[in-house]
Amino acid sequence: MILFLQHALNGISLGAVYALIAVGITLVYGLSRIIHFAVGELVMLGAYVAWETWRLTGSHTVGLAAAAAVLAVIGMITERGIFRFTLREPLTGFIVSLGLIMILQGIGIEIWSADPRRADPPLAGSWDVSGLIFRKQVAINIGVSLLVLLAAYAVLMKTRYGKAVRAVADDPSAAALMGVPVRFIIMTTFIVGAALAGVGGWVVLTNGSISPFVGEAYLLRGFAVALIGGLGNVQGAAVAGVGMGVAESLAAGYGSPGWNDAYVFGIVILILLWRPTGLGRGSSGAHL
Amino acid sequence: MLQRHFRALIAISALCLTAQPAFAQGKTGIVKIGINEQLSGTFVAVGVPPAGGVKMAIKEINDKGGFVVGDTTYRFQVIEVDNKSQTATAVAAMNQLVNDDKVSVVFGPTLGALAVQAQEVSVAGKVINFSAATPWQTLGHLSGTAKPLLFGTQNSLALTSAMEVQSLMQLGVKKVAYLSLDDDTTKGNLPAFLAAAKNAGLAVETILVPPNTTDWSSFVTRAKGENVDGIYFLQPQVLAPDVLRAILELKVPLKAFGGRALEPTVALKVNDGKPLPFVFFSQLPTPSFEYPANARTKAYTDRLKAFDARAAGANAGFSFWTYDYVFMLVEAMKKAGTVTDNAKIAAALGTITYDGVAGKICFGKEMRTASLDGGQVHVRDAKIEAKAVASACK
Repeated sequence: MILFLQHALNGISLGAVYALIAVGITLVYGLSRIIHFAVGELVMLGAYVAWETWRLTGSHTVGLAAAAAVLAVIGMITERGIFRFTLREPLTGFIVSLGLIMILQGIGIEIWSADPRRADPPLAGSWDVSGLIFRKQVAINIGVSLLVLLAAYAVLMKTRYGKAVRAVADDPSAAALMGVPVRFIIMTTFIVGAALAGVGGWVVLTNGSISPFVGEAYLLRGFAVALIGGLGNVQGAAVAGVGMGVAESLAAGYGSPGWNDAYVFGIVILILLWRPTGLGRGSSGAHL
Repeated sequence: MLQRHFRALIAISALCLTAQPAFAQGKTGIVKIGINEQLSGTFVAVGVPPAGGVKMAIKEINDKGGFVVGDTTYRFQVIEVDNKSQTATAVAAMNQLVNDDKVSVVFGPTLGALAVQAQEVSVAGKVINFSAATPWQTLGHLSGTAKPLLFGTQNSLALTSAMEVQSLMQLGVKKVAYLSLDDDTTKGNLPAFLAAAKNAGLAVETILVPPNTTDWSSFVTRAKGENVDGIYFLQPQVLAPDVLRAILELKVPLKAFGGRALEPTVALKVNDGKPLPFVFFSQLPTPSFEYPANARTKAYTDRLKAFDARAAGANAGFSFWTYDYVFMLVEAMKKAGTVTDNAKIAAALGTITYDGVAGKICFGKEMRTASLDGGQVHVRDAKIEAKAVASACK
């Protein structure tokens, strides 16, 4: 039983990153209908920004703030420079995001080389609670991810800005008639989505090594989580993220680990066959 | 007019007198050598050092005036193609080298998955092909008469694995988790380890992890759940600190943690400077620059740094899988008396023991895989103990 719980706990840690990424994907999709596939590379850039900041300052806290801030700027630049031109053709935006993967990965290799980098862990060691091991850094990472997700949720549900986002997601034309600056609101979702990926990058860095290819591991999972949660459904993405992390960890613990991806995506296929719009209500409209 | 001719004659005579022996003998020739390596892409770190080893050896040979076979002095011409760490590109690169550039010999690819596909082209083109790729051993390409021009430049996996298993058992390990990426490199190495473990009576739990794994907790927890008392980590070696951190934080009770070509200083740093609660060991498949220090390899790495700083990086040891073999190839060509008859050259290669920077090197009789120096490092109580393991060649 302890072993099962240990695997579940390990999975929650994995799932926290998936949830951060998936919420970013789902926010962008909810408002722009663009499936932003390059979000994995944004995680990679966030990890490197956090690493560079840690090297310069020795502080992981500053690294976390820098990763979120710099990625927010990158999110704005990509929206202003690229995605806003594809808003009328979301499929074009999707293809553009595929191209961005190559470009961002190439930039990563050019700047940092293909060799893995790592930072001294901010918090080493673990707590042993009756045989269940809580890695201190993992606990911090889960806490940070949860706080960020709760903050994003609170902003969406409790503020005027959040109301505007939901209005645009429900009906952009009606929102525009009501005086909501639709284009501006859409831009902000790219900013928030990228900032969440930046936080995800920081979490990845504190867990271990990073390389320009680290985003590949999170891209498909983040997207799958967004699908399971229901594209456009923030709460669904958060819950599905944790669910996928736990499923993946249990598969590694009890199945053939080499087949981990097959198990996880097999579950995704079954869920989508059963509920094509995901477990949350999605696809037909955003549910922020 | 006559004076001008006389001056020209004197100039030519002077040139002949001062020129290298090759020029004096009159007949010269070129031997083309191809390099098919990962010079960019995901596995660039595995391709640049072997390519650097070949190029440095060729430069040193050419700078000395080349080499003489029969009455002709030959120089090498190197043609380097980047396979971009991709299988299709590696096959295309081999096609270019063999069919367009008409090289006699190819070094690489070092990466197993690429070498397995690319050798089909070199075999069809009857070109001598050197590579350290381990799948050539496990797939039987280096034994028998079907592919006599393929030569493995890495120590026999059976021998290396037997030493690794022996190390684990000497450290008191009864059941080991074999932890590695689920890829062709691992699949090329695993059978030899399992066979060695079976012979020695060591129980093995195989845990192959998906590529791009960043969080090792689940896999280390799996090993813990299997009650192993040792973990063997094959690759990627650069991620050993992450695995060790997970082992320490998840409190896995081990007697030993080890692997192949693991950097020993990892064991000193990963536990906040405190000694690891288990023994760390690393089996070195090539001579080491530091463990133990060796004047011959030190001089070599200094030359490599000056020649190609990229090749002299963290994986500089991989250049031992090519450098000496260029000189060995020259010896074989001299012994065979030809630079074009690859069957004769290959036969000669099988009879030579070459004393190079990687020790005494020779190819096995039953399998055309090389024997070269290696090493073994243990870290106990934060102290590094290293010993060289001499090649089996006489």
